[in-house]
Amino acid sequence: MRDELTLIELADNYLRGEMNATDSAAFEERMRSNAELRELVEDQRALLGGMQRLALRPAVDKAYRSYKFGKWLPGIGGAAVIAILALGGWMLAKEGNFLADRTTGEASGTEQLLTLSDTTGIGLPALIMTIDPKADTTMITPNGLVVDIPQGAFIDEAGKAITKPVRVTLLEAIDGVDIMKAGLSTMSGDTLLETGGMFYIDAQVDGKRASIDPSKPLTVMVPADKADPRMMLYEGVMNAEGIVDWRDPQPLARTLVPVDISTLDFYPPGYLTKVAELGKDATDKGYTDSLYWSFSAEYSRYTSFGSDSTLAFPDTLSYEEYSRRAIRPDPDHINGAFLFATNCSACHRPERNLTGPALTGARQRWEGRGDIYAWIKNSSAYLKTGNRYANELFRKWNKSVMTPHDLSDAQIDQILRYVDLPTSATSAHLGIDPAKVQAIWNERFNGTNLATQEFEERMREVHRTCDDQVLDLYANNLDKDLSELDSMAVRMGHGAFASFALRNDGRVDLPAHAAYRLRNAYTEWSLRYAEAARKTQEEFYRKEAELDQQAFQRQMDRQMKDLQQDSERFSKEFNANLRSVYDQLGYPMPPPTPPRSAFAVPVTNPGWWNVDKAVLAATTSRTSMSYTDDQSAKTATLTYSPVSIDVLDKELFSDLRVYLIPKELNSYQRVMEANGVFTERLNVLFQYDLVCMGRRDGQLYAASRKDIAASGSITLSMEPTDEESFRRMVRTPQVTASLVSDLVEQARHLEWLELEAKRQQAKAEREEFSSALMAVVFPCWGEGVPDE
Amino acid sequence: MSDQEIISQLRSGPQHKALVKLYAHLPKVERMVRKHGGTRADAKDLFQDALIILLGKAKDEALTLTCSIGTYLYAICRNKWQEELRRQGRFTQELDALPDEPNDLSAMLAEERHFGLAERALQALGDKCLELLKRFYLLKEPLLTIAQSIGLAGEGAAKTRKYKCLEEARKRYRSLLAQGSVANIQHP
Repeated sequence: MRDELTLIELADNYLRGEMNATDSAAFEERMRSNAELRELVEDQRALLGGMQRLALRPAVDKAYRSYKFGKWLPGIGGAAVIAILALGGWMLAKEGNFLADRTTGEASGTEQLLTLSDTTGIGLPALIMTIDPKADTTMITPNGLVVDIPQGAFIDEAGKAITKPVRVTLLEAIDGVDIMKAGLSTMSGDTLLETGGMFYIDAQVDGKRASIDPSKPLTVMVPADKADPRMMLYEGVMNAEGIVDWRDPQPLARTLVPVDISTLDFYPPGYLTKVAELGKDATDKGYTDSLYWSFSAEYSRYTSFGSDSTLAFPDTLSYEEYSRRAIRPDPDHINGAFLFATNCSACHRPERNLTGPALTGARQRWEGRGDIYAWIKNSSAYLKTGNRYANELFRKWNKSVMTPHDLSDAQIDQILRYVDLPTSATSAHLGIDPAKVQAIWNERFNGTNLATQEFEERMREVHRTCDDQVLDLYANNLDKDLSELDSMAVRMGHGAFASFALRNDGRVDLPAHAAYRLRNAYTEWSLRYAEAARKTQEEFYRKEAELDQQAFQRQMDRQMKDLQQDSERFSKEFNANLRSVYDQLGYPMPPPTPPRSAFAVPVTNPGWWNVDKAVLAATTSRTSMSYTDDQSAKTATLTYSPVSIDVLDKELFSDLRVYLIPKELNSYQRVMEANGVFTERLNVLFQYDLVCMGRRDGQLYAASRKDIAASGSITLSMEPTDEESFRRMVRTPQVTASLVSDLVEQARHLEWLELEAKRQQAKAEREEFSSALMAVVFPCWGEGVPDE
Repeated sequence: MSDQEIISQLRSGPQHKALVKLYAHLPKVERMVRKHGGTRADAKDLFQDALIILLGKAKDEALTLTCSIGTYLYAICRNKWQEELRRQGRFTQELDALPDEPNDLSAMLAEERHFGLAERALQALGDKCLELLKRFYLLKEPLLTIAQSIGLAGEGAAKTRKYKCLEEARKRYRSLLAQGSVANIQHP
């Protein structure tokens, strides 16, 4: 031991660089020839390194807490957002009336057609209905023709809205047989037409023909299996021969038929399949929805703080303030993104050159060189002013002319602010934020473009683009034709939308102000839902972190107690050994000193000193020793003999503990497992009891053996038990109640460990589940990692 | 705050702000780890280890990075995660590397792995032991001062205690080291 101490000291000096060069070289030489010494030095170096790490850890942990919880500080705008939303909802509900209040009429019987204004078409079945013109009416024919009559559509000769009941007659000739029966031709002048179906509408009041108010046209939807974009609407005019000629063709907008939005599927492609695959109920929309929305929190985690190491933290902002701004998409940015998508994206990208230069930093480049606003509004005019920078740009970019833009200064500002956002904030490369999907996928968007099967098809493609801006494009332009938006999506670089653009899909008619309000609502709701998802998730993680912290504390406490207990047991055993050796040598026991300080007592008798050290070494390593005293020539021995303990079915137990109870010491010691067997060396001075405990399926199991024999092997069979029986099992006349309580506490700790393991497992499963879904929810997840 | 400013703040303090800013690189590591069979917690552990390595290096005046701090941290985490996957026998392919990663990390990481195990071994020691060792090795207090401040009889007692603590730590460290190598043999 003296040797060891010296070596350690030498190693310390060497590692701390406190050795002079000569000594250092000598020491190194010694290390080369001595593997043991080399190992000692290496270990000590590692421990030094470990110690340094240990010292740095608190600072790193503290910073993590600031990062994590600072990031989620609740915003101050919460209440205001809710108020705005409530208002929006009410307005929209009112707007929604124009669809909801319509009454669907049914044929009121088969009256004669004699009252019709002309007689073409006799022979076709007629749908006749008397309607109240003061309310909206929808008529549906057996062939699926839908006629929508707005309130007040019919006017009399004086141009006044008719209030009396109106008799409406509908005739339809959809297929060839009907057309022949009705004596209708398919000629337009000399051209034969391919017909998609013909229909005839007649309205009469008191036998007189009613006109239609041009500002309130009826809407007729003709069912079509295949939408042919060349299909036109012709007006039938009876010629002199009494044959209907088809004239004045008008292009047909393929009107969209809104359906109940909740019946549509806006999930990312494959989401429901994957959920089912993972063993969850994919038919429960409540569940799949909330699961999907919860991924919004993931979305903001991965997109708000990009990987971009150039992300600047302006030093004038507090970190918390900055991060709060960074994670909340600013409505201003969304407008900027929208303006950018509709005006600039054909030729520009924020971060790279296209037909035109990358726009990030454009404002800065123009600083002091000219008027960027004038340049954007009308570049040709600005070139003529002779501005040097403008002309330089013009030459550099192959003299291609930037089309004039009808934008206000404020709008240009929004665009320029948008393109100057850090890349990570402008391009997600992940997928669509579920909060945005949630914002459009609810009944408030019923009756809009979004509540159509046509949009559902596009939505699948939107997910595949992984580009939030495409969804913004559709959601923000509810008063535009889908085909127009398709073309914009193509210009934004998403070629897959070209096939949609060709279909010429129109829109669901929506007053402009409703579209505007819905657009604002979309922005607000996206933010709100994202915030809600974040908060929920963050609260969840905060609780988990708290539990983790508590669990860590608890384990540390337990470990501390165990160490303390073991060192007490060690002292007792050491003293007992010492006493035994002194007895054997015939010396009186030295005055009792606190065992811990025993090493520091000045040593006067070299014999005793040696005895102490020998006993200490034997006790520490639990090996037998034999010591012969020079003076008395007596020999003292300490004997440790091995015992091995095996437990039946031990793999069934989550955590198995074997304890030896040396009864003379009124203490216990844990037996460690090595290579599947619990082995320990027993001190023959003591009588040992043996107790083993473990847990299995939430149940405590134990086994015990009294007064075990040294040098042997023992096999224990575990039985289910409870705390009380366990207490009785351990208790013997020699052991104190407090020792029994200590062991019971160990048993309780095992129970806690089992629960903790379950919690950890559940945590891991959740994690795995969400990881498995990530790639489906975010189609670009995993792409571009790393994403520079 | 530029990389250079962050490093100089890590070196001479106050470190907190700089450390918090460095956590902005955590999500990328998370993405890499979760994409390759790890959890959020794994990523955090890796990342904190990387921060500690960086902190240790920053103290060294000679530290010059050949890449951005973000890349450096990412590279450390990626290498360590690769090693962990290999250790678990789950290694399949090279994890995605950044283009400008430094490529001389392996020796440093091997050493750091030992430090990490040693850290775990030390963590398992009692508070008193840890305090004694910290005072001696980190604060470089003389043994006598240490003995007085933690209530030991004298320099000799402190020395003996230090020996015992160090031996205990070394024993634990050795067994952790052995566990690691066993795993390596099972899954080459």
